[in-house]
Amino acid sequence: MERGRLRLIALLLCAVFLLVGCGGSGGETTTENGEAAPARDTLIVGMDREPAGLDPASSHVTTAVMIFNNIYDTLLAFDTDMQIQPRLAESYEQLDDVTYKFNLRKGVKFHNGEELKSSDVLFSFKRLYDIPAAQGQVDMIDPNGFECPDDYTFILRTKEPWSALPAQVCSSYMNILNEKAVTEAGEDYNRNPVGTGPFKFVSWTPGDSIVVERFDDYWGDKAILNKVVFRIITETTSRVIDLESGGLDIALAVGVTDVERLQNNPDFELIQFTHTGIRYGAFNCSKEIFSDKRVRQALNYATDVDTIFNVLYDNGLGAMRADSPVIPLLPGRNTDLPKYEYNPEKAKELLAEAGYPDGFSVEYNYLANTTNTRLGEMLQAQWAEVGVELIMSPLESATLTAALNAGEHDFCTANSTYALGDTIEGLYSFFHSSMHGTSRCRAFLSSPEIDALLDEARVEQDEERRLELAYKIQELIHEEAPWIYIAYEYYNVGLKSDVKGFVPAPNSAHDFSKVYIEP
Amino acid sequence: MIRYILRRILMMIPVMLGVTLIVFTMMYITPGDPAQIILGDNATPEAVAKLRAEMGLDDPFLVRYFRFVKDLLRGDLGICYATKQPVFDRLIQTFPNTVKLAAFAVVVSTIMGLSLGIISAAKQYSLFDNIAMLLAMMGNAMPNFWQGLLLMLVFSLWLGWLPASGFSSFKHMILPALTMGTSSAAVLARMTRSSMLEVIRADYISTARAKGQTEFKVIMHHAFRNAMIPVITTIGLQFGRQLGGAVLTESIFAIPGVGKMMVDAIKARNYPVVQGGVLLIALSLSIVNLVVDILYAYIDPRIKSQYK
Repeated sequence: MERGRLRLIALLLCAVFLLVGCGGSGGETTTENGEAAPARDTLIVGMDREPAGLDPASSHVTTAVMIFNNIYDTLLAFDTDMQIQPRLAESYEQLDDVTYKFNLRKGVKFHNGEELKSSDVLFSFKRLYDIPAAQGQVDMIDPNGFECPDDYTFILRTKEPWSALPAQVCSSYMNILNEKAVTEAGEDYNRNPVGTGPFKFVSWTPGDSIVVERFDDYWGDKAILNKVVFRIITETTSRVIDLESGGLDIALAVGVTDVERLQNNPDFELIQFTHTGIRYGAFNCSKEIFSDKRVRQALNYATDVDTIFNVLYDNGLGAMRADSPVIPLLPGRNTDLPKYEYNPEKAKELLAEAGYPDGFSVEYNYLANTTNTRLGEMLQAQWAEVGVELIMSPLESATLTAALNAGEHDFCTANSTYALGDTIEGLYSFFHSSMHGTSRCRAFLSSPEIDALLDEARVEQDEERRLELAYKIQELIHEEAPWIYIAYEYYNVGLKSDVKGFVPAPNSAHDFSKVYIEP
Repeated sequence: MIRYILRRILMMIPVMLGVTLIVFTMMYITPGDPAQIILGDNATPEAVAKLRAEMGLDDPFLVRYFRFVKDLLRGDLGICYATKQPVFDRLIQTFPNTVKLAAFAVVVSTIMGLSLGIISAAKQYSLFDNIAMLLAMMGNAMPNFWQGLLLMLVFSLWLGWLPASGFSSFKHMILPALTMGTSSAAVLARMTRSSMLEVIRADYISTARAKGQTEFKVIMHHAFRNAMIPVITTIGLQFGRQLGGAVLTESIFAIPGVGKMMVDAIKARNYPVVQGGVLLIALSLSIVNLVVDILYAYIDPRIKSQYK
């Protein structure tokens, strides 16, 4: 009898757990308030990082850029082929070498009901000069060169002729804000954004989700979805499990290990695309050893990039093999560059010519993660064959950035994005000697010839000539060999197969207004 | 008793001061310039230097530490570098979620641990006892992040019973609470079992049986209550452990609690948020320990008489 009662208690406890554990189905989607999501006009997107704020002048992680693109508009914008298209500006014209006139659309409404006027554009651009994190975005634009001749015309001047101005205007820092909304919200604007985009901001639950809903007065094609919930799920595995178990419609930044499984599952679609970044190894040309281009060329020959690429990227599952300093998406990419084929003998000859017949030792400064460590170990083994000792020197992120900016490294690896999505601007930031000490310049190359061509291309207005120059610059860079090109990494997005209309943007500014869920 | 509680509360002051010193020193010696982090890589050196001066980052260590403590006493934990919100506000937003999760995890672990422990003790060396203790050992040995993913895989992906992440309803709490509760349940089961076994062998239990009381009454009324002291300590400590240990579980299940906030803050070198989070967890642990000590007195009158 007593034993029976004990058993009964144990059984009851088990039952409680089973009931708690099994209560209801967990696959259904819920909003941030826990209510059942209205049928299928709410899209739930799992993203890997939480933006620090929704003021375009402050936060620029890729997920912030994506949300900006749906809440705000820029005057011009890149399409998914990285071509510049009109957006809030119906058209623009260049009046002289430094002056640009933008003709604004009429009848564009902000989410607070205000109409877009040129004074809003002026306000949005002028405030960037006062925000330290955004000042770099307007350093080529003359702060006294803005004019608003009427409500729908806006004129700006660059400090000097600069052909990348239209690309700069596409930057998400240059989104157009409503002066009244910003002034009224004050400090809180960062969490209460008001734009002209296809979706308006609804709520932000820190650490959990950001919700936007369709803006019915949008000037362009209205969004198909009623609501988009951007959920913050920083763990990659959790994000993918949530997608597969029905909690998400789209999972951004899917890891390489999940690619094949999603590809083979008919219930899901996996979209892979290259974004605006390139992974490379950079020799510090300001160091004595690497000031001789023969040494840099020698180590390019001493590196079996194919093997490294196959190991790091699962035989091409996670990236495209890089063969030029310019990413595949951009115009003016020189695809005729001769490869530095793996050739240790030639490497030894070049090293001997440069005065290092017995090799030397160099340090590899890197952020200690799996990719960098494996990369370093492979380079260490390959370079040892030509007598070069690579000393692995892992550093903590902040220390590493400071050391790299100061040019203290011998060799490093990096994954850098193309500034402004523009070929010349990207090459300028990577290789122009005036950029030494900045975050994209890791090779500290000083080549008067390359500098001169970059300077010329930067002001050249004729697109064809600009691309010719880009082609030539790549040849010279390839000859100088400041980099070892490794990969253009893929960005993976997983979708439920009933999610349609999602076209990924290489600059992360994914547009959700065309996305819909098939009944 | 009141004097004892007051004394304990006063003792928390040097403890918390020690915590502030350790946390502040750790953040101070961690590489990375907060001004550079706030302004980003593209900021000019002049802008960074200006911000450093404004934030008082150029001042000596002790000046900064005392300023930090002074601000702390006024309830000012600093400003979150990322969102520019007061850290205090961020803690207020996230702490309730962590407490809810920890409390639920403690409920789960207490029910599981106590029931397994009691039955194992009552049926020592039986098959149930052996299996329960094996499970307890496994539960304790499994790391949270792995167990969390495993539970997600089974209950969300394969069975589709529970949501894999989020924190918007009761259902969302089950898997994270199980993840956190299992290892505590394992400790608790073993503790309950050994404590019960000690008591079961005592003379007064034999007396109770000799008096013809039912086995259920003997176990639950006589043995269990007397075996509770170490068990209560363990439950209290587990609650403290859950508050601090929610860090990984919250990240895995995307729960907007203090733990996840701290993990994200560490990645972003958002020092004020890390400091605020650690201080809050330390304070919570001190309070939980105090509450556990006070609870002893109510369970065991012998202890109450020692509190002066």
